[in-house]
Amino acid sequence: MTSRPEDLIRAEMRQALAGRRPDRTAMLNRIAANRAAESTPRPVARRARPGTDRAAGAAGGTLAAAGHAFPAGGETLPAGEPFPAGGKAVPGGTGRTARLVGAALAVVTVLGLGGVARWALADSPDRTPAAPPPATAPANPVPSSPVRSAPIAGAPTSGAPASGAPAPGPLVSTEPVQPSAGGVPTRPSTGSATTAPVPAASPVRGHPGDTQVQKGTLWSDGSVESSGNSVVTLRPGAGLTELDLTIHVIRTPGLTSLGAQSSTGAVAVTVTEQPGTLLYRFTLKPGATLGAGEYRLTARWGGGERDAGDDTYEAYATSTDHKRLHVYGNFFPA
Amino acid sequence: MRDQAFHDFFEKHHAELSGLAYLLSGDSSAADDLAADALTEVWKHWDRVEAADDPAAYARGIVANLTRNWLRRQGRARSGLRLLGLGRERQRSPDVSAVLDVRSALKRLPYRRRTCVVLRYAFDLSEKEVAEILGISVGAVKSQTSRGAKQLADLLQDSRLPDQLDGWGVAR
Repeated sequence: MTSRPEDLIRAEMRQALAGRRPDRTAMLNRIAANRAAESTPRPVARRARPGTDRAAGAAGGTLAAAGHAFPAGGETLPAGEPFPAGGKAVPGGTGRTARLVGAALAVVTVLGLGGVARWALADSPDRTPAAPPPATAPANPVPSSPVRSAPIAGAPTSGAPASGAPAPGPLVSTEPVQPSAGGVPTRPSTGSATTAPVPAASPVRGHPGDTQVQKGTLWSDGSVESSGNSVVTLRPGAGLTELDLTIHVIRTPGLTSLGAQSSTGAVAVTVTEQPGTLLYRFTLKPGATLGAGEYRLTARWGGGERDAGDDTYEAYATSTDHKRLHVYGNFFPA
Repeated sequence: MRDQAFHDFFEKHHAELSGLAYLLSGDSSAADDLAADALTEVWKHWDRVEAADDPAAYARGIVANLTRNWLRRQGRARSGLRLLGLGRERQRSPDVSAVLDVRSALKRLPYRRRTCVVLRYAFDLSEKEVAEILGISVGAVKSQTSRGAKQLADLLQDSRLPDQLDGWGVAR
């Protein structure tokens, strides 16, 4: 009778021990990590769920084993070198350290993948931009000042040649659409102060496969006339209080701008000659409104071979019911 | 040479040391870490361990000390959490014992008592060996062990209905 309690607790404790196997590999790795650290044993983290923690410990053990060339799964260690001596400090074989390292790796991986994704998107051929190009930013649809933009006369001009050779700078010239009499283009007196946005570096929308020719009440189309015009036709179903249309004409050798024209006088135009692109920008004058109807906005060019395959247009508009409209397309036949 | 000897020591004792830490701490994964830390100490002081009469007893003593320190840290962490209102204190009244396994029953024993009971009965060490491991007198081991064994048996038996006692008998 006196031995009853002892028998009971002996059996119970033995049973508890028998139902458990120590993680030999984790222990070896922790010893190796302790020795590598050459410090007092690290704090033992409390791990609430032994099942998953066992796996974490094993993973951490594998890390440490890799760092030490330490046999993780083997039954016996090599006789001559049971533990690698010294060596660099290993992040640790414990689950806690493994979790820290794992979290750091996860963060690095996510950031890295994000960077790769951004790079891949930026490099993809259809160049879908994350944000609209600054030249046509909707926040500032009418940035032109009277100095560097001129109203378009309703009548077409006679195709007087614009200023000749392209200048090296990104912003070559801004010219009035209607040259002065005699065909000599008049440069603005303050031409050096022109500060039109430079959209060349930003992706351009409207390439084949990346078009949105209609948005809300605004319909658009681009076409090339054999006479040397790239025409964008806009058909707003409701009035427009703001409009900012940019036509991108990709330059070929010798190609120069011959100006631009509009079927409405409410639009101001600037032409920017960039090294690779002619930019024709049509902006609705402040306070003006375009009623519902059809408008033709024409970019005129000449002097070189033409391939309109890469030409695009993009327009931001605000309708009279305060809807923001964004259309973009190209000059392939619809 | 030293590594080889230590490795033999590891293979011979690591399971036992981990089991000791397991019963003392009640935490399976922490037990492996505690035993590994103790074995690291053994390796650091290998000369002393080898010179000792019983190297295994030396290691057991380290495990017992490390586990006690670990439990203290855990207790501090828990009370800190309670202060912050984060830790959820389990509702348990001493009268209504839930199903109590030996680990949670051991946790209710004072640490010294618990250590004596575990070393004495789970590992079948003599009172003299336990006294050497813990650095206390044999008399203290005797009293601690008997009190601890009784307390533990009560805890375990209280948690069982009589018909679940199997061969252990109801009477004490």
